[in-house]
Amino acid sequence: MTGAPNADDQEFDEALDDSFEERADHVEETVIKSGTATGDQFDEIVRVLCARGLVLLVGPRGCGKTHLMRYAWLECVDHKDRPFSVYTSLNRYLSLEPLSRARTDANGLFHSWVLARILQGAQETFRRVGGPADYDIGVEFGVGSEQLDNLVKALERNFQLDADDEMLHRKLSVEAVKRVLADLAARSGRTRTVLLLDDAALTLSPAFMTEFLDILRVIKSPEIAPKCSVYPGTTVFGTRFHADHEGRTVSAWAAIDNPGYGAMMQTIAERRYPEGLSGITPEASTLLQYAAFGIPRAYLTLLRSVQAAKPTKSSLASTVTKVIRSHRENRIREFRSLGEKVVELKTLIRVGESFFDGVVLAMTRRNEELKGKKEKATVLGIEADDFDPLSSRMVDLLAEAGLLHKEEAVSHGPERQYRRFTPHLAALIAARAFSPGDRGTSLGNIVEFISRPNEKHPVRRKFTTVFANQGMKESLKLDLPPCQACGEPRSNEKQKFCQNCGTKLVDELIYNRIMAMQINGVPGLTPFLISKMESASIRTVGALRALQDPGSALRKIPAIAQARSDRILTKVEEYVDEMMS
Amino acid sequence: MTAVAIPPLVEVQPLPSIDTTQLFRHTGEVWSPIDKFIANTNAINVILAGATVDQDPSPELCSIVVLGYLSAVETYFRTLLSRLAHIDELTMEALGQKQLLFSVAMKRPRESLAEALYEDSFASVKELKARLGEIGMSKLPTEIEVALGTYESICHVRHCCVHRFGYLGNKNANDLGMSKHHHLIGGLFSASTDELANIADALQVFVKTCNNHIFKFVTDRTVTAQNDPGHDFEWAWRWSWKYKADKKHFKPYYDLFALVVGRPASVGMKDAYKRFKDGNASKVADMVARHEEGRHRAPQRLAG
Repeated sequence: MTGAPNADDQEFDEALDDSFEERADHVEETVIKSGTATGDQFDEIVRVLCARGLVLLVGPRGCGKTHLMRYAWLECVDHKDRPFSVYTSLNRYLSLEPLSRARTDANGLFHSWVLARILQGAQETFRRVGGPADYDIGVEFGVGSEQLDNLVKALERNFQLDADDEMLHRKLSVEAVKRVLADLAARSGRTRTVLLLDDAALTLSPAFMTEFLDILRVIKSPEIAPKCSVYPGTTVFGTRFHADHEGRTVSAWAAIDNPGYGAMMQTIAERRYPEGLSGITPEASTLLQYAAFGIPRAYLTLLRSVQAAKPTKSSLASTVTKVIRSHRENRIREFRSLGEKVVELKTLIRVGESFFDGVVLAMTRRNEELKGKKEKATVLGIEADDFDPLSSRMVDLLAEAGLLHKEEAVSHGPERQYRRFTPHLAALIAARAFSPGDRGTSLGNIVEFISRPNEKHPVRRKFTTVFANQGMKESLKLDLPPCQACGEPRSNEKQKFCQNCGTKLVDELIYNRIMAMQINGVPGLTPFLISKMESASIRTVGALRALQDPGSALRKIPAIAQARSDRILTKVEEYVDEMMS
Repeated sequence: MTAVAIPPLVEVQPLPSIDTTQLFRHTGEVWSPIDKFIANTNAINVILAGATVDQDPSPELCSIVVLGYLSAVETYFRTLLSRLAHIDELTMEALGQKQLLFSVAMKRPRESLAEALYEDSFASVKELKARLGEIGMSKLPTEIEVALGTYESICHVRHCCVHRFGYLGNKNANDLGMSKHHHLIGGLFSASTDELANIADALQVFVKTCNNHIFKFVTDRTVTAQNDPGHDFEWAWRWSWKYKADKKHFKPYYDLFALVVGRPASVGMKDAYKRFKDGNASKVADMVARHEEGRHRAPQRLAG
């Protein structure tokens, strides 16, 4: 269990909280335009996002996928020679999951929801680039004004669909949407369309993912180019959808060894959070950039956490180290939360964390050996033959959480293919991998060590060796829930009915597990706010969201007025969005 | 003259006698049809799971499973509709013109007469639609219509299992779509464990969907009828929209449609009633208003 984060681990500070926004989906357009650090990699990605053809934009949370997409969208909006661009986020997909227990056509409803979300985006773009400001896209389907929004709302909140909703649901087809997009593009003087589909990893619902891939296959055309942002290690794409055949994959992750890395991060901080850099020495800043591990949002958060501690000149080094340790803790906590959401992954997550620690340990030992040399070791190599489906899944989960970064595989001789990974640098820094021996916490020395080139070969390990070194006796398995009727353990992953009582085996809804999460685990809520809510018997995220009017209910609690109730609702919604995406 | 007996082409043994009176027993169960359906099919699921631990089912087992499942589906509809005819007045009225055998009328107790109305097969979409049409469900919800497509295909597979030991015949191939099945004519029905489990799952989902929609249809219909001044049915009772008073009228419907033994079980009766009432909110408001109006008017008329 992750439980409540203790004060030391809190990266977010209430006093500073509202000063700026790290998440690109909450950032104003002007900031997107002016606060964006550009560079060769960035320009290339934006070019690909505006070009023809299907693209998967791959990167861990916070690496800037949303930012890139919104930037590309604005570029298209502002330039007539660019395509008609539609931006929409699918991050609410999991809120449709409960429909799968109430309706036999839940997948069809999800299908309509995706199309409706695309149309909402198309409506917004058309209002900006060609059509009247009050243009309502419902007119293309012969439904009343705002009917599209009503359907989206009803589906996301699991309301009973009324006759108008059902009618629109039946009218929404990929072909119809393609026609409307082509029409709107033409009316806007654009020759083609790009669909920027953000948060399209849909990792928590394979059934919806299958449905989504079907939409992609059909909607893709020479005139319509879908671009989807996904997490690394999202394996579901592999089985029924070959990204390499259907389109191309582009990494949004900025490699820390890239020569322009430091400058890019620095520019982002200068534009988005200049005051965060005051009093921060160049070594401290560089180290924080490394610890952010290619994630601009993480760099900004780290700067904020350092500033919040109000370090003196002499305490800066220890503050930076402490903040990096806490960043590591938070990344691990995020990884663990996946095991809480998806019961069947519990063992994979637990063993995965231990495996990750083992990898960090192996790298630390190797760097001790490299102390007097001019090289570092940050890359782990595992022989391809050593992987089986479960260990692959475990490594994919670590990659999805951003704890391991997948590098290109390399061959060591004709028979030996190695898969290579770089563990999160914050974890290596926290484990003192780059400050062996007596050099202590001198930030300059750590930075010097990290900026060394990598040694030629990766640190090679087998899964069994890493597990043995960690004292792990547990073997990898999926934690399939027992039969909900008789409690009999399942005999295999694919079975549909219990072998003991014959009852259909049904997995618990991930949505319900998220709703059952404790309020005291929501980041950004102070112990004071948590205790106030608990005094009103609001102990879970679901209890708050189930209230008819959560805002008024919160304001009935003594000492909670508008500002605090707004703050609670924002934090809880952010948390839920984060957990569900 | 003694002639030597000529042995037949195929050797036979004495014919055993079958006493059908010994073959049936009363179970005394009073489960809801959906509960019984789930129990029946779960029993098949257990047999299937036991026989397919490390191998796919044999073609014979595939046929038996499909037959068993379809038999459970037919039993569900037969029990549901016949019991509905005894508890729901509008169904009773709709079936008023149906004819019964005199022998049944003479020998069977009054409360099980409706059972004799449902002797025919339910294992085809046409039959099923006709039976649902008779009780007033002529326009089916989309969810049922979609599920009926799947049900129809499985019914054709069943037909092959019943009449041709699982071999696909011309007529069924035609009904399933000749262009996709013509090369399979004469082929033996042999599904994998997963495919058979999918058929089982589809039939369970189909029946549960029908159960939910028929429940909603018959209960909502009482409200519509009671709310319609033009409806010429003589009601002996009316919804008061107070649980305590309405409980006795709602209970027969709940008992007939709720899943109580199977898992996950339906919500309790009180919650089910609340959902029923909420689902008819606008009609409830109309009825309450009319009732209030009636109360105000009545004394005036008396006074006049």
